[in-house]
Amino acid sequence: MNELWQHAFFRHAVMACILGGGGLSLIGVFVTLMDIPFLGISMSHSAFLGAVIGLLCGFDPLLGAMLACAVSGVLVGPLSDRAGSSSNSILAVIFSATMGLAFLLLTRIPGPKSEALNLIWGSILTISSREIVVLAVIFAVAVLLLLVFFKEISAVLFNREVAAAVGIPEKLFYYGVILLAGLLISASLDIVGGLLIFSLLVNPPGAAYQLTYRLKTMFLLSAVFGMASCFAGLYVSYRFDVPTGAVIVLCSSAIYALAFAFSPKRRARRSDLATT
Amino acid sequence: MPHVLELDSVCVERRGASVLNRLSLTLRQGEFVALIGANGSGKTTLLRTVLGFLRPTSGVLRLFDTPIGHGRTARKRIGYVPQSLAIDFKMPMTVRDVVAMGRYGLIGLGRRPGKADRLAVEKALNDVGIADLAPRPIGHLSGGELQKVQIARALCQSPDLLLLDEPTSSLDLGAQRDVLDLVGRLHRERRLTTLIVMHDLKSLPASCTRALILDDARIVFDGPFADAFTEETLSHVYKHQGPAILRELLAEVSSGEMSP
Repeated sequence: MNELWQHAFFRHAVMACILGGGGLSLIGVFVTLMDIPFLGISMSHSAFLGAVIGLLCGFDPLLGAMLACAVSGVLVGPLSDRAGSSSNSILAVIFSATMGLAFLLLTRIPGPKSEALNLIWGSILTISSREIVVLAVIFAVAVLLLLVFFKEISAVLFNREVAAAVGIPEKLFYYGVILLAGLLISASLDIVGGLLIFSLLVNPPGAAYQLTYRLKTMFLLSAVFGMASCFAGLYVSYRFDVPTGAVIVLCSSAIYALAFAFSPKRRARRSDLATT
Repeated sequence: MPHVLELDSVCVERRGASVLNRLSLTLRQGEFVALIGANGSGKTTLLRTVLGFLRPTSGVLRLFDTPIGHGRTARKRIGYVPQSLAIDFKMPMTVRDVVAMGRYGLIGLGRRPGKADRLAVEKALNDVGIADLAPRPIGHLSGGELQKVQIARALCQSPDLLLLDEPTSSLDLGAQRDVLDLVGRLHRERRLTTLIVMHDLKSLPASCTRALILDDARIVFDGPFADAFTEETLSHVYKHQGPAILRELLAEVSSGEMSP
């Protein structure tokens, strides 16, 4: 692969693996611990819809995805809060409606649809340097916020009511993370595409969750698994000439399956049940 | 004695229905008060209003002699123990991590815990008697142990008011006794103003001297705990449990078996 490193597209793809795979997996810890996978899916589909609208209306799809995610981030969090226990049903309706609308609008895009199809399946090898810069900025903001506000975020992850009771502005952090997830998703759409991107929000943190009782370790492992999935996907797709996005998703699923199979927590749970 | 909490004709509405109806009460420093009532009587709503999670539609709520308006500032002086939390077995946090959360509001946004905070955490763990559990994953605890962790977390906040929302719900009898003994001991040792929501009149700690009974969003009894055991008050507290159980309880009262 050494000769590939000479090419800008490959270096961009590697950067996308680090920034997108790592960033989405970091934010995914929030999605996993708050048990809000539908929220992640809704955000990713909103990004997809925004990008399609951008293509249809003739402006930058990345900008469209970001605007759509910003709007969703502001609306979806409070909406799911108000809906309470029925929030998953409402989010499921939202994400299916955004997907339906996105596919409907796709058919209205005039001329060749290769750029639009890239939004569905991803195209990590065509990521531009501008997209990498945007992704790097959002990734840096996410990491910085995580480092500075780790204690507040950990309290919100434990229990939102407890976080509010000790005097933390939990809504600010909760909605803030949702918004950040949306921005990261929109900037990472090209990695695996709008259909599959939520797998990077769910699989790597899900795998990390199986392996540690330390929150910091979970964040680290999740980021490593996210990056490893992207690198493995990139390598396998290069080696066997198969679609990169799909392979990245399969690699992240395989990591999850391995973590689940060898999880020390499963053994601990079994021994705990045996003694009760 | 200074007032810790004052409610003056406080009304709270949710989805158009009155959930607290012209509620007035005062809590003085060092008091240990039980808030009792049937399901849906407004007990948890009252706690959530005091915490600033719900806003009164009318009336005045004063905390520490200051009208409440800036919920988070007052909240930092209140230790809150919610009803039993459902925590996943795999949750990646230890008991020490959760107890330390009590300090987070006091430390301030974006600041790291210092030595004083770490000492406060160890002291709270020792005071509650769970120092040996400190490194355990939080999801590995029994219900009773988990409630003690919540109490330690609340104490870690160095509160001026402790609110406990049915801390013994879904615990077995032994664990209920453990938790209530702990709450009673902490009140005796610290004279910490305590408001405990309970479902049941029979199991309160001896140091609890005053009872408030809520029914249909109103206070129907406010007086010494010993006076709460009458036919009228019991009919408010146990009204959803059927006439047979109520008759049984009244028989216990008249025979002297049921008393504080």
